[in-house]
Amino acid sequence: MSAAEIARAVRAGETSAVDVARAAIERIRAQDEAINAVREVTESGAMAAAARIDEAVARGEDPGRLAGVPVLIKDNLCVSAGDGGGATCAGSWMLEGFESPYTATAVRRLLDAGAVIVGRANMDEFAMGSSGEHCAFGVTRNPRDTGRVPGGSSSGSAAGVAAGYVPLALGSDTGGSIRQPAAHCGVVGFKPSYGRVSRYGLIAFASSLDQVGPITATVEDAVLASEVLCGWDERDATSSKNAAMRVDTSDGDAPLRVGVVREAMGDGASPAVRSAVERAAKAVEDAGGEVVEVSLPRLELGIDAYYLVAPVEAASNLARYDGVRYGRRAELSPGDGLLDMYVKSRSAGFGEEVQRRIVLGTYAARAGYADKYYERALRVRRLLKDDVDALMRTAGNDGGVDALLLPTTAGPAFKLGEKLTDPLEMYLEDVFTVLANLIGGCAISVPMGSVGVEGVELPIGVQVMGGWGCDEVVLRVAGVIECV
Amino acid sequence: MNDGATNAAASSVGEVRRVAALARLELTDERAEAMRGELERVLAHAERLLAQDVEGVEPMAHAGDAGVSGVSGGSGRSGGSAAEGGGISGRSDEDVPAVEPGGVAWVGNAPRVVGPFFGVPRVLGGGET
Repeated sequence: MSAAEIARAVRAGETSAVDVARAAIERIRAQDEAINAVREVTESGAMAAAARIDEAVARGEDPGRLAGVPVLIKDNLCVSAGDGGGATCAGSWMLEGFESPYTATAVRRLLDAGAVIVGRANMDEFAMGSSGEHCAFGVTRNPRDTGRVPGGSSSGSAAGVAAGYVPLALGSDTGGSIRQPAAHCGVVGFKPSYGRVSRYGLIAFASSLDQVGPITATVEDAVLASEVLCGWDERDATSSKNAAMRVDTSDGDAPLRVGVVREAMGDGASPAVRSAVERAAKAVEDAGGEVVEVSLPRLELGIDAYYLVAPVEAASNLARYDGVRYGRRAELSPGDGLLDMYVKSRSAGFGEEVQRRIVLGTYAARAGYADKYYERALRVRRLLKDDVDALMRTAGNDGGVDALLLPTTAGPAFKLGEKLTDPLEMYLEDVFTVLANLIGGCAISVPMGSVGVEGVELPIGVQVMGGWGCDEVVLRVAGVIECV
Repeated sequence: MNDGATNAAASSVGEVRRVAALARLELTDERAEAMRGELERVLAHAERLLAQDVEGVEPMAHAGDAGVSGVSGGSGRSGGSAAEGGGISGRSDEDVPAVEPGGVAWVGNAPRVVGPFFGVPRVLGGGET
């Protein structure tokens, strides 16, 4: 059942939230040994929360728009013990067993709407990864083919929805970490515009790019979850006063105008992916919309800008993990001082990929190199934003488009280990997704058929993207192409 | 696509070690050598950015600079503007005290606690506090 269907049935008293939660936990226990999407099942908290939902319904109260919906929470979103969310480890030994004294606003909004947390989703360490292989708590596998990656970094969130454990999971997206795993697992993943979902309680990776969003099985559920998640938060200084969202999916009178990004339809994307984008474009036309070709000549530079901006911010954000206030402290030898403690704790607590990005970020930001790398990346970032704005109708261009259409990934899910030894190849997985993060825009990946590889049908995702605040129209386009 | 390693500056293992030390990380010989090659490839790829004319373009340090579509518009060579009406960047809240979890909640996850304080090795003289 979808999240919308579960909530409707629970609110109507036709289904018990306790039964729904128990069934979700049983699915996880029965299947997850092969997938490893869930780091921790939060059974006691889930059953207590579900019982409260049922009691509210019995009293004639409305528990909310997500009443009784079982959800997985990515392991980098803080949940306090009182909210029954288990530990918050961010996929890292550094934070193994960390119990947050507070709950992230995004999680709080789900709970307030009646959602029930059944577990913590595995993820690439500190959200750095595109394959689900960089996790201290084991590799997550793709439910469609367990010999392949689920994508990352919201690997467990996407795999958990694809495996049918839950209809809704929370992820975070810094350079594609919601959309790319959603595409590889055959589910829907939405990154709202920056500032529409609070980052309070999200363990920071790259603060100017991080955004929380939903992974679901349907666009309808993505809309439902986004309407719950989006809203201004006084605890997040980057939260927008215009964050609240209400999507009118019945608004079919205004014809959509969608632009297919020419530079994303070349050899950089596989024929199956290009074909999926073309099918999505035809769906827009069949629904009465208009499709035009548009150009983003600097599209490919996004990946270069991103892999300088994000590591620089990560190096700064992760400086807080020094073995003092929380996290792992290494065993010290007699005579070790404060600096020894920092170095030993960080070197033992962080995994290989996190250390690589910290060193890259430190390299790019240090004196004498910041001008060459970091500042130039920030200037190109603005050019990319201007390029997108120039295409968008919502940016004041009468002849512009409502949304952009492009691939989510270059191809289907790759094999476990295939890109693990080549960081650059792994980073290039994000070539079509980083743009939305760099410009602060929104984007959604929608499943668009599959391609047969070695006897297995692997899902393909198509991305609908817009500038800041285009979330509603982007979700509307997603609803149109989902019908293919 | 330039994936060569011709111009990148991460040219020595010693350089990688020095940068890692700035980030309070210690690398094994094997990792330092591997990371040298990895950084070299990533930075060589990023040198495509050098070909862009960015003269007069204001750096965009934050997505908050994106503003609200339909309001802010392009801001390229004329210089970057913050989010006019976006409500994201430059926000200034009232300075009002708020109730937050107490000290015990915040030190509860520390690897070593001494009374209500974080415990760390002595800065002078060595040994645990």
